[in-house]
Amino acid sequence: MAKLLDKQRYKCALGAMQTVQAIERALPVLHSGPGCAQKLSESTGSSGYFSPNIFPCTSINEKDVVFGGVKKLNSTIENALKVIDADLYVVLTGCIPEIVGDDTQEVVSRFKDSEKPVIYAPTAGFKGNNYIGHEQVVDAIIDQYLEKTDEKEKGLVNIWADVPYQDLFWLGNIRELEKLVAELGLTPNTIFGYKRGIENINKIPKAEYNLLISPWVGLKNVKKLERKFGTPYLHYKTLPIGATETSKFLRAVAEFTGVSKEKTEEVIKKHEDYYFYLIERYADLFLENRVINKQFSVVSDAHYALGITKFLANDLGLVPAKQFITDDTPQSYREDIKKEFKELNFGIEAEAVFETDGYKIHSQIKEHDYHGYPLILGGYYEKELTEDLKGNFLNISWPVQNKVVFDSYYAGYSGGIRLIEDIYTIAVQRFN
Amino acid sequence: MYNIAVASSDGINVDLKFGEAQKFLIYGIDENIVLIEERSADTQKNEDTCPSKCSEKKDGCSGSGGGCGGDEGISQRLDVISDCRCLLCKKAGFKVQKELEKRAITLFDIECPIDEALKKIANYYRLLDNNQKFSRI
Repeated sequence: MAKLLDKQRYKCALGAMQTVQAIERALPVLHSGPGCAQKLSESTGSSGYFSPNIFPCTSINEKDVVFGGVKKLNSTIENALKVIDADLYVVLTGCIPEIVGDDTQEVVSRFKDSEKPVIYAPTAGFKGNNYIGHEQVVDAIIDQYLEKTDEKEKGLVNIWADVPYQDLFWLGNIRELEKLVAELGLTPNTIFGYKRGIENINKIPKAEYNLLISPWVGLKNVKKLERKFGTPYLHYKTLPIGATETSKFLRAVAEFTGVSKEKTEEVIKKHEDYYFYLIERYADLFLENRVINKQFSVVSDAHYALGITKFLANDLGLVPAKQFITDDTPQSYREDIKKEFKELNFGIEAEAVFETDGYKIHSQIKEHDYHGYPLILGGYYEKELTEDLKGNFLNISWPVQNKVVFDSYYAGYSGGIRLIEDIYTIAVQRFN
Repeated sequence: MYNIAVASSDGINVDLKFGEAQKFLIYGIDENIVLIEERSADTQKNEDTCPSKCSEKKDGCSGSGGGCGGDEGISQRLDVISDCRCLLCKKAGFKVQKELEKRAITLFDIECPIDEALKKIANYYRLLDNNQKFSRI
């Protein structure tokens, strides 16, 4: 029986056109009904050289369902190649053509010899959400665009982390991760955001290592990269926020890539010194225990739920209540992720709940005794709820309505400081 | 049982634009596909009813809606097929598309043999009406 999903926190797999958009000069070509790109119109920061309103689309209708839409797809790709100047054309399919059986792959293969690369990712909504769609797009790049090479560039590391646009800090986070990895003496390579694009995609096969920073999204991709190019990968599940996790992260990367201990500790010390200088200066604020909430809940995808929970428990010494993971994590990853929530400092354990239904999440938050007013870090849906509970609310996950993020970030040492700033900015407002 | 209107010059292929058709072939679909009748689409196309005041009468759409007799002409021609579930013709202009939408008549703007098209559409509607999954594969 059909079910309604209350307060949806992701888009359908076709939302992966955002992943394509995040690659500079890559263009999504949609084989879908008209309006399928409309789902992206709510987010800010998505205009630019290409924006969802001008993505070429076959706009298929009932006629194409009955008689087939491949002709239209062929002409749409053909004309997109003629009139839109892009470096990479990624054909994405919506639900309708996949249900009725258009052979998109065959049509795309006709453009094998075109001047610019045209690839295809199946992103029908019934296959999953845009986290899965993101993986499909990266898979498509690996399978259909990248070519095998024996050439390896010493110290080159591909970094894979957040899902662009779905995560509002995607740009800032990936840049900060790049910086940290570079400080270890490695050369980071990422494909999303300003001045990365096709040239960096071309570098992927030459990398010595793949570094995945995500609880589960992208694991499929780095495994594929390992199979195709023999590049070993490090799967680091926690987004490092703050000193504890970032130092752990740097040590793990250094060990995996063979960076010397001295070099690593030198980098860590430099950052930690400054980090704790800041923490010390604000110790008066932290020790004023009526300012901050005793317990917190994060409502977000696994990436942030895990990263923030570890940070708030390990670095800020807050007590985690239930943490809600809303990205519809595939069953096979869930046990592993739950375990991660049990490994906090001071013997603290957090309970992670996989729940996509907003009503059920809100019921559980209302039922829980936060020993005072709660701190909720979640999507905009939690704002009103937190107000009802007289708690403190910070919008950190999609949907985002009361925050504008250009290239700010929570990753790394300084990202942790940013998060403290954001949380305490809200907390102190209660008293002022 | 429902009807389908077809714009055809030879009774074999869907080959006329909406405005070109002098008549519509009306097919009835239930178990079988049967040609029921031919309906004249030649509404009084004269200068009085033609808002674009096209002096020379010509077939086909001239771009100003003149070919199909302007707004009023479209409306009159659609009245002829108002009991049909869908319309098969080679092409139809924007105004015609919108009018069809209003009247809940589906437009299939295609060029192919009539019996092939009717078979596909009948199969599609049969599955749709019985809440069954439709797939061309």
